[in-house]
Amino acid sequence: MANTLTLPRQLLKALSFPQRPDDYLGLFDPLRARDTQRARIIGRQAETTDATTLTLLPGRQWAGHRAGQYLRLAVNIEGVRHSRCYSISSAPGAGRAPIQVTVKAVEDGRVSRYLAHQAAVGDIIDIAEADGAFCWPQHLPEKALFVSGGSGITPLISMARWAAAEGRMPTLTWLHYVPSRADLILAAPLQALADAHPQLDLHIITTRQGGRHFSARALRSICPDWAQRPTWSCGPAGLLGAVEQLWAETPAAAPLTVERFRPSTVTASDATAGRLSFAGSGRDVASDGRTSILESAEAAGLMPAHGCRMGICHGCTVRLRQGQVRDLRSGRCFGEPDDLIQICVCAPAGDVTLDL
Amino acid sequence: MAFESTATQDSRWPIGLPRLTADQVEAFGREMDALREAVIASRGDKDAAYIRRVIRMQRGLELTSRGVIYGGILFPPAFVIGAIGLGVAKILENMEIGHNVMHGQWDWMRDPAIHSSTWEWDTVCPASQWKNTHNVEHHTWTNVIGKDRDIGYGILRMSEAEPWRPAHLLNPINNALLAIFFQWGVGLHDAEMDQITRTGTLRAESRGKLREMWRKARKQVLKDYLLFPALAGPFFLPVLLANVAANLIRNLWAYMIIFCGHFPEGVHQFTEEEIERETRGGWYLRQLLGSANIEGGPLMHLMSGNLSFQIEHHLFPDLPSNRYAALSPQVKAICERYGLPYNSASLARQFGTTLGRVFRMALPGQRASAAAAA
Repeated sequence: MANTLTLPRQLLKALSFPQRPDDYLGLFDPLRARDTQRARIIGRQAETTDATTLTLLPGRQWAGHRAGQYLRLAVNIEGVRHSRCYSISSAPGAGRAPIQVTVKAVEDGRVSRYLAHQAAVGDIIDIAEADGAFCWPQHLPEKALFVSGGSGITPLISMARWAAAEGRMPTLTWLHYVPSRADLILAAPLQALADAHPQLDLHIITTRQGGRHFSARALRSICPDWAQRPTWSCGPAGLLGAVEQLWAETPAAAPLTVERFRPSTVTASDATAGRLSFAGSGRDVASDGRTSILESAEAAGLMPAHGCRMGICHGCTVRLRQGQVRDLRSGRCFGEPDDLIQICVCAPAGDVTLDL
Repeated sequence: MAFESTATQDSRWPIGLPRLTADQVEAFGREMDALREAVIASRGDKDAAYIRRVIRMQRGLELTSRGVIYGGILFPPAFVIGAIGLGVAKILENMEIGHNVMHGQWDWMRDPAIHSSTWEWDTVCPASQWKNTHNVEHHTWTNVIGKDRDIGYGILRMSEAEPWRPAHLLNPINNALLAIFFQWGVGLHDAEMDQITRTGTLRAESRGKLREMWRKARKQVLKDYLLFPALAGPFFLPVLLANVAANLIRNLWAYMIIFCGHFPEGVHQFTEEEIERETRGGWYLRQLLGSANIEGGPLMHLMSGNLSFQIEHHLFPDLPSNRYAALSPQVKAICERYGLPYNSASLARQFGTTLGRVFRMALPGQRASAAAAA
């Protein structure tokens, strides 16, 4: 037994063996768990017809978050556990302060649809520690630029709320793109921030109501000194692509930090089908070359450890034994024996054997 | 089994059964596959809620029973009630929860807390060793003499195919000892201790397994026989006895249910030659002919971990146990169409004939196809 445990804790552990004390304590209060992070949904508020803000009360193990970080949460849908990452939209609070995530139901998005429409107040969900590096630097910049689209507003509003709560709101220009006013989530807190802080220059651009998509020209006219401002951008792949391209063309620009919702994937024609073998468990499956190794492994009944499912957290890395894999985000093929592969964003390129 | 559509009588074909052609065997297999697919396609919320409910209920019963045992300090009959409750809780944990979770019946939920790769059960046998002897050896080689070490556990003579030795006169006594110390029998199973009687020594691999078993077993012993009794202070002894009784109740019940799965009259055993060219259909047929069900109500099924549906469990070892009850009449109807036996009877009949076999096998003599004679 670990020396770090107190004597009563060691005794509880020995008395609970082979289960854990949590398994019994959880009968009374699921949030008391020590080994498992859980949260209770204590509030839900509709943002738009397909987006909902959920307020979560984390359990006693919750270590808090930094503004801009995301939360991995797991829900059971039709009996099957699914986990996804969502940016936390609330500002960090003290201790077990409630946290908020805003979830927009996306088409074919099993988890987002469930959270936006079905998750109920009182439900217990499993969560993981907050993670991610899409955050303010240690010293807040004097000037900053935010470019967001759709639900990409969520990590940025957390950062803005935190800066406001600290009384250190930078001179901040914020371009936020939505199809229409009706699609705007977190509208009220966003407006409240803008009203309270004259140094926050908020532009809500409605692209289906006459607003133009992101362009260098528009940026220059709204924020002439954009290239001097550290910039944070989060949103759909199209917007991020345009933003990244502008920064790539402007080597002297201040740093750009980007957060993606889901990996942009290669087109189907680049796929190479093959045999995917899991050496640890002795199973193998056919692969179409487009499905991530993680998904294929889960479909084959394995349960690989993983985190974000989008190539961020490296919680899913597995040793490659043989063959090559394709990074679904870039389309790049790579792989030598003993490489550690992020299986959530890699698909086999031909026959592949992994330590799983 | 290599079932072939030859016209000649095959002496190996179990007596009293209609002769199936190879095509019929495969057709039977496809019908079993279809049953399996239908369940897989319909697993969902209700099934998940079932296993979570059973787990909560089991833990609640376990905690309550432990509490009731301490209540015996003030009101001595509570020692007995608590011991029975704890025994029932251990039965539920081992059978309806542990055994079935370790089969991967609930892996589809992808819940790491209810997963075959993570579950450890409340008995001295480590989950990893159980998954080898049970899921791999027993379920793959069900009732194949020389392959399925569950035929007698290396302790009993349970088949005419095993040559009689004078030591087998002890069959009934060994059987009683196995029942009483069943968790230790299961715990020692993977280490293949019986090799000592054959070779006089233990392989290094077996010694490693014994060490692994003891690492777990000592925690079980510490919990049940030292820590919980010690918490009662001067009442150490009655609490210890209550824990011993609870483990004994679990041992006897688990032994009985498990022995009723493959040893009652009418269950078939197979030779390695018979399964040489076994197809998927043949594998299904062997599971059917090699298993026996126990009839009873919902409580019987719950307390046996649904191994009262041993036939369905062996046909579909990784389907959720709560589905076996609905599968049973479907399997039975298909068996009737093929003229195949479906061995299902009361606990008294199944256990009675099992004990009969224990005694019969103590004596020499190779009553031909005794197992098959219904």
